[in-house]
Amino acid sequence: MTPTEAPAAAPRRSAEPLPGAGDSELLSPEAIGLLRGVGRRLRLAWGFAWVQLLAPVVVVTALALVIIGRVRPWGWTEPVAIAVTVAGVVAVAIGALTLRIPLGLSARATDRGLATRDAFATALELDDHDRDGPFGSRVRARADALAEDRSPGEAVAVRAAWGPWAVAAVAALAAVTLGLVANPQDQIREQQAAEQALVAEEAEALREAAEELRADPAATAADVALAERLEELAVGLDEAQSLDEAEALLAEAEAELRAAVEPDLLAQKAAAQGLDKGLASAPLPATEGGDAAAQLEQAAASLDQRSAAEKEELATRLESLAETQAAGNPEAADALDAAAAALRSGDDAAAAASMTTAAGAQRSSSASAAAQESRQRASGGVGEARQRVAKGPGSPGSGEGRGEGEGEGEGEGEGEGDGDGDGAGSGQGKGQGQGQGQGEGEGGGQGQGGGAQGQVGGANGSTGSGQGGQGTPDGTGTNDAPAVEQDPTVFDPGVATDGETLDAGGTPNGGDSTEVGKGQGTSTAGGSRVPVSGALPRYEEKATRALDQAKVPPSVRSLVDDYFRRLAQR
Amino acid sequence: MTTTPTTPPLPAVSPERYAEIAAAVEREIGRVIVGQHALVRTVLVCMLCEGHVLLEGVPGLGKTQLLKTLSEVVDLEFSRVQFTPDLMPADIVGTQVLEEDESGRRTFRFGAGPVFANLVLADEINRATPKTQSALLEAMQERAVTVAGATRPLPRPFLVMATQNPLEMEGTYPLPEAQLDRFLLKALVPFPSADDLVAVVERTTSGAAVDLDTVADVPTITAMVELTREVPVASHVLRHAVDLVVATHPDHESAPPGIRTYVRFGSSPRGAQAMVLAAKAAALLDGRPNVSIDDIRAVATPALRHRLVLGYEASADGVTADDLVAGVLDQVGAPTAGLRGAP
Repeated sequence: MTPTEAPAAAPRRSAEPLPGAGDSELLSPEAIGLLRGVGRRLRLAWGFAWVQLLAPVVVVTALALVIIGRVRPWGWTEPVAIAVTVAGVVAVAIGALTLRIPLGLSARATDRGLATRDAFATALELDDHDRDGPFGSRVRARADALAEDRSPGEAVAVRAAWGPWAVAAVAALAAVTLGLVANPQDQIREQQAAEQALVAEEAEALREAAEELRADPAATAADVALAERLEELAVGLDEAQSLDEAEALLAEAEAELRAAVEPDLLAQKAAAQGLDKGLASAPLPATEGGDAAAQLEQAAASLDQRSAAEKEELATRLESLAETQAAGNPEAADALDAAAAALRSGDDAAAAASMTTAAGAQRSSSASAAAQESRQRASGGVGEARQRVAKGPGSPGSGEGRGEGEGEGEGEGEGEGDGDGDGAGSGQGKGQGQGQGQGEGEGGGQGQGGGAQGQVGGANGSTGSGQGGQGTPDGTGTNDAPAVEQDPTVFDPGVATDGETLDAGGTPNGGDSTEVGKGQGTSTAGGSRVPVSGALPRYEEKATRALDQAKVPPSVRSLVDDYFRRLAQR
Repeated sequence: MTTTPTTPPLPAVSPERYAEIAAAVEREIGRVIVGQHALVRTVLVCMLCEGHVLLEGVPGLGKTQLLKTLSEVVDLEFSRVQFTPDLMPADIVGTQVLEEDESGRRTFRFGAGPVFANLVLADEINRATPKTQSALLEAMQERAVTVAGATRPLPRPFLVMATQNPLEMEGTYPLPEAQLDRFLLKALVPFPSADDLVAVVERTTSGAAVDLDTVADVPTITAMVELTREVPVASHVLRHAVDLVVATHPDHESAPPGIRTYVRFGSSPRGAQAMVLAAKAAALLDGRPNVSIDDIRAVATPALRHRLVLGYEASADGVTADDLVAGVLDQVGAPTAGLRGAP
């Protein structure tokens, strides 16, 4: 039973939690002050010990994240590295501040730190029996005596272990250095951010388009469905992980919307609007105006009040109108023809029924055209968005592009002449042209570049020219040199240089008829070439916009309609 | 404001007086026994705890002399029993003797055996038969003997100091584990150093006789024994003693590898009781009014070494109980404040 029988150095171990020490009043204020000071010191030592333990781990983790951020284009690595470091410090600080250190724990720490042989812990745990016994006062007196002139720092020493701090310092220095040195991944991250911004911008544009559709008071169920589709597409873009994915979504939506547009939309639209505008400028006899359907209904309702001459005039007018509707609205054309025939045969009831049918067909055609036009516009918008996404946000490139274009055009014209004795005549012509262009480009830079597509509008007698855009080293550069496009002309008989002369089809009526020609134009080599299928949708869209202008006569609309329809059929 | 502790009426022996008497006893014994301070302290602790002590050592190291000297110093009644294979229980506890008075009337009178003393030296206890051993060990436990249906209490304090010779095991009867458990501590008597041996030879071969002073009597020693049990113990100190005992059990998770390999059965709860009680006496001998972790760890080896039941692997590998207790002390370790960064 001597000290030599006990192990010289026994490892420390954690003990069971101490009971609450509520008898602190048994000790002197100096002793209690020492224990409370030791408690504060324990809080500091606890925090320091944890920081010392966690610092190497946290800093090495941060360094690993920084290194990962230099080899991978992940933008979250450096912020997470900072967050991990800050979180570690904050967690330790919060833990130290909220740490509960009862007086008994301080007493045990004091006993160990000051080697007081458990004097303070025993003094705090004296029960009633001990207090009244021979040892109570002696234990307290001993604790008080041991507390004199002792400081908490003596009891709880905060010692730094150089190993962990050295590791942490080296790792921190490396992390900061790497953080300050230019990161090769930054350019990639910026590119990714720009791509995300582009996709987000397109998604927002889709949402705005959908919102406009919904806000339109005249919106139909088809418009609402289209708006929902656009919003769905916007959500898909939000969730897209890459430009390719976004482009695929847009292409899918574009194809879907385009498929919903009938090929003869232009004809339908031209017919419907032409009928409305034609009757607006020259209303049916004995009607009070309004749109075409209303005038037809008014005329049908007032047939019994019309004279034979008026009916003949109306029949003639209806036949004329029927001809304009033949391409875009056959149902209306048939009804109008039937009405004219019934009028001439004196069957007012049948005429009225046919005119009512024509009015309904007109309304239906107008509505259908409007709906399809919405889809077409949406399709165009989505297509443009797809092209922008496919093109990407762009990045600086140093390539050079070169393109060649070639256009071909075909013209076809028909004419009608209506003359009077004064020799004045007017004519209508319809032409059709086709153009093809292709562009090729080669980029310089690092030796290989993707030349942008050149576009050219080949038309009858027109020349196309294209210029390859600048290529980029990686082939994804911005085509900041768009193809020079010469405005196509739908049909221009005057410039047909080598076409055959055609009869415009007009029937001279004592006047000069107008002949329009059909020319097989030769194209001039342009700067780029594009397949016609690539240029056609854009042309069609532009033509559609042009048709919206009130000054365009219905016959021209039919001409344009036929033009694109035939192109589509080819 | 300084708290002025109010000391209650002191017992017959105050803690300070306790330490003084103990120091005087050690000093007087030291006049006869050369060196062996740890052994003297162990025996003194057992006396102050009224616990029995088992001394193990080769002959000639002064075991008997130590106990005789102690009995003289503290003025306790001393008896010695030399255990032999033919020793009978009655030779220890006493027997009924038929007596005839002057009128010729015969009566039985109890003839008290040597166990009726304050200090009983059971010399070479492992040489007696188990039957005789058990007679003494029963008296050790019950502090009373029953002869012819009459139970007779033994004088207090009652302390058995048994000796064992680790050599000459032929014809001996090793004490069973249950009986070993009744010894508070087991002390190993080391061979003295050369310098001490020179002093021993000088003292024992000269004609000078040592005149010992009696420094305590029976009431004083009894009061000291009672005072020993009053020493307060903090809860974590008590828990540490229990942790040490628990770690001696090979099937417990805190047991070190040595315990798992070489120990068949760990210490009984008496091991923890012995540690705490001996630590109380040690604290008082050290002049402290409370038990510390160091007191517990200091008495762990003498309190636990004879309570471990070792397997044959320990004998084969030369592993001793002291080695295993040291492993337990290493494994358990002194308790800290239980907080990271705290001492």
